[in-house]
Amino acid sequence: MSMTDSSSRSPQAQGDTGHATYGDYKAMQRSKLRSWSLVGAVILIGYVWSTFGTGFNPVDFVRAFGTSVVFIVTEMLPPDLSIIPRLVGPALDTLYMSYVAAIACIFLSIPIGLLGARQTRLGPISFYAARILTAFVRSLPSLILAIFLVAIMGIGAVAGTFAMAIGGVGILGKLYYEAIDTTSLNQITGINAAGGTWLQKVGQGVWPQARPALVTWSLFRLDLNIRSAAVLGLVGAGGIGFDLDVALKLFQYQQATTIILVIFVMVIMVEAINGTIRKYTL
Amino acid sequence: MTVALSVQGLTKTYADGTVALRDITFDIPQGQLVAVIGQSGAGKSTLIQCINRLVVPTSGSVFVNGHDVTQANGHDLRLIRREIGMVFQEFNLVERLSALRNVLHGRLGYIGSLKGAMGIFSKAEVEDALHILNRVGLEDQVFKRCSDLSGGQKQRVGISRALMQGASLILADEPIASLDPASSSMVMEILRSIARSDGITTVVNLHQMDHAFEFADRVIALRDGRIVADGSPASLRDDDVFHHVFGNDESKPVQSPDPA
Amino acid sequence: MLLLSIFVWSSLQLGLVPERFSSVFERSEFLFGLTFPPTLHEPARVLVAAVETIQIAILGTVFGIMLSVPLAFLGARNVTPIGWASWLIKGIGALERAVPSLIWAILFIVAVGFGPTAGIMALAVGSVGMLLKAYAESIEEVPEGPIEALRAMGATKFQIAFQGVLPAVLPVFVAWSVFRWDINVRYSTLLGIVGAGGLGFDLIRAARTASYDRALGISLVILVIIMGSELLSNWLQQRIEGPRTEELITIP
Repeated sequence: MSMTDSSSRSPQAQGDTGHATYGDYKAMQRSKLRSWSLVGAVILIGYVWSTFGTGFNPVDFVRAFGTSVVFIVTEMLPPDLSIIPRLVGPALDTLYMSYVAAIACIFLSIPIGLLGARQTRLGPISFYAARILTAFVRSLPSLILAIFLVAIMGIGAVAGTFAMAIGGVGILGKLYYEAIDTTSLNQITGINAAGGTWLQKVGQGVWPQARPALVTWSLFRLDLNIRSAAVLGLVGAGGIGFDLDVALKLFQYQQATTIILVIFVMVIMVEAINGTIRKYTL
Repeated sequence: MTVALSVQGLTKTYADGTVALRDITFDIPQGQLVAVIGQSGAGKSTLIQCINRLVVPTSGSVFVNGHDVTQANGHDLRLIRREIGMVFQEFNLVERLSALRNVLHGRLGYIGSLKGAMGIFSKAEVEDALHILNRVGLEDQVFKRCSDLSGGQKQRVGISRALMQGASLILADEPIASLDPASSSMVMEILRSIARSDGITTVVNLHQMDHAFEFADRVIALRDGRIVADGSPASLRDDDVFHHVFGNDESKPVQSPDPA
Repeated sequence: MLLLSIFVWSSLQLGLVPERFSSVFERSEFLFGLTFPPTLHEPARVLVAAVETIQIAILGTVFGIMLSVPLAFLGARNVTPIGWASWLIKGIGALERAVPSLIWAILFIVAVGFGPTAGIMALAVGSVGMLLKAYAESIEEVPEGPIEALRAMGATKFQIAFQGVLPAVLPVFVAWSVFRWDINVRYSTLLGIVGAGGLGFDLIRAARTASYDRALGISLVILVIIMGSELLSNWLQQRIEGPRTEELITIP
């Protein structure tokens, strides 16, 4: 923690003893106000600009909300549960996709995470390459990747799995190297000093410290996957999203409700599993 | 000699049946520094928390400068409380804010709700706060975040906050329990000096008896919610009953640096 | 080991067998031919769509935040004036979270029609789901001590909320809000795929007509938008926290 306090930002006091004065206080308040105003202005401008562009205002919000509620109540309830047997296949597909993609993603992200972390880096080239790679991949939503992969691999769950696995590296890789970054240098230099190899450094120094964070983020990835997987079907990349799309296009709203409920249940299930895994490993 | 704090027949029984205080009665004149000592669980914290009604007593009354704390309604309670400064063992500062800002909080009881919420303080108030921080030796830490301060410094901010309130009564609940010996002595010294110079009645909970004896004008000893001894340090040191009650607990009983 | 076996079994169920990959290379080459070089077929249209995408994200996030803050205060057990509100509000949040944003979008489209309105609603609702829980939890975690101190010196509830609670939760609020903004920008680019406005619509159109070069062009625009917003978020966070940030704002 630096010893320079923020009074170094304000003009030096005019007090005879060099102590802080009311003038310094006002200066500090003013600069804080300026910062906040700037942020506020940016947000406000963005908001106003957006409102003009889309023609959307708070009144619309309330109205849309009301319309939606009415719609849900009249058209979508009660859910048509008869289609559940038909949904089992796609639902399972969705789960498999999420799981396989998560595991693959973890395996791919581990080396990236290690290379991109300050404590475990193996040289500047791979370090920056890893970071840039994750930044790049991170900005590409897996759905978009899926569109292209469908062209290569055909319609179906395989494309979706790959999309999630590859796309996920961007986020997971970054989370991994950030987690490793926060491990304390002391424990690792200890191993270095004792003449340990890089692998030992990772296994004994980094892993025990970073484990909770790494596990949490990996489970987070699984959580995200199940949500992504549910939607990938919309572009033909497999999973239950496809059935949802079909149901809506055929105006079968009550079937759609059922599908949404199934998705809901799957998400909750995965969250519950995550919770238990976390309890046992942390 | 006006009576600043008067406690009459104070009793507190908690919901689970624990009797924390039994019929506590004492009067403290203006400007006296009283140390309340006793083992953990003897009722020291409960006593202090009853004085400004952070804890509601089961029976009995508390009078601060003649005002009845126990019967006061919401608005009056606020008026009474703003005259009572509190210093806590855990400092209880808003860590993310600067020392100066925390001291200014002492004025919140006096200014309008809206103004206070927005953090608008007058020039006079700010200069007051700066002056107080000078007094306790924190002139260089004024703008530092409290999370960046040491324990001793934080406690000094806490005391400054109480001074900012213009308090006539300061309640300190184990103010030095989390501090190292050097900081402990410094904080106790500050409490004593402001009690003397500003005439502030001070009640300090301590479990270190040596500090109690060194700095206080008067010592009240609690055991199982009852007062078992009450007098000046000099008189108590020679009291056999006193030693009998306390035996050889916590800190060494009698290490007289100088007679009070 | 358990993980591995589940992995293998699931892969087989999906049909992830080596034979599938044999044709992949050929098709990749074919696709490459189609895809490169990336083109922007109608730059003006794409620009308009890009702008709309950003605007949807902004409005969705702003509304999401504006709804979440008061609701979080109502839902936090330690500051709420309404006792039973806590679990009700948290329940609503959980509900909103479990449904993926894109599905909300579809829902709103069916209810209010195509266009940005549905998209904004979807993002707002999704944001509330996430932010409500995060905000409420951070409020509940505020240390009690300083609050008690402020009460002891006669501060009003209002003063305590703004001078005691707010400083403590502000960094967390900001961190989560910025996090949500990033997510919303991402989703915003996709909303068009189902017709809720923005670039996604052009993207899916290009893909469906096998104009992959256009698709790539649009994808690159999306990439730029997302990376740009990340830079913006970083700047914003720096500005708000000020140069005194010692602790890493880690998102749990």
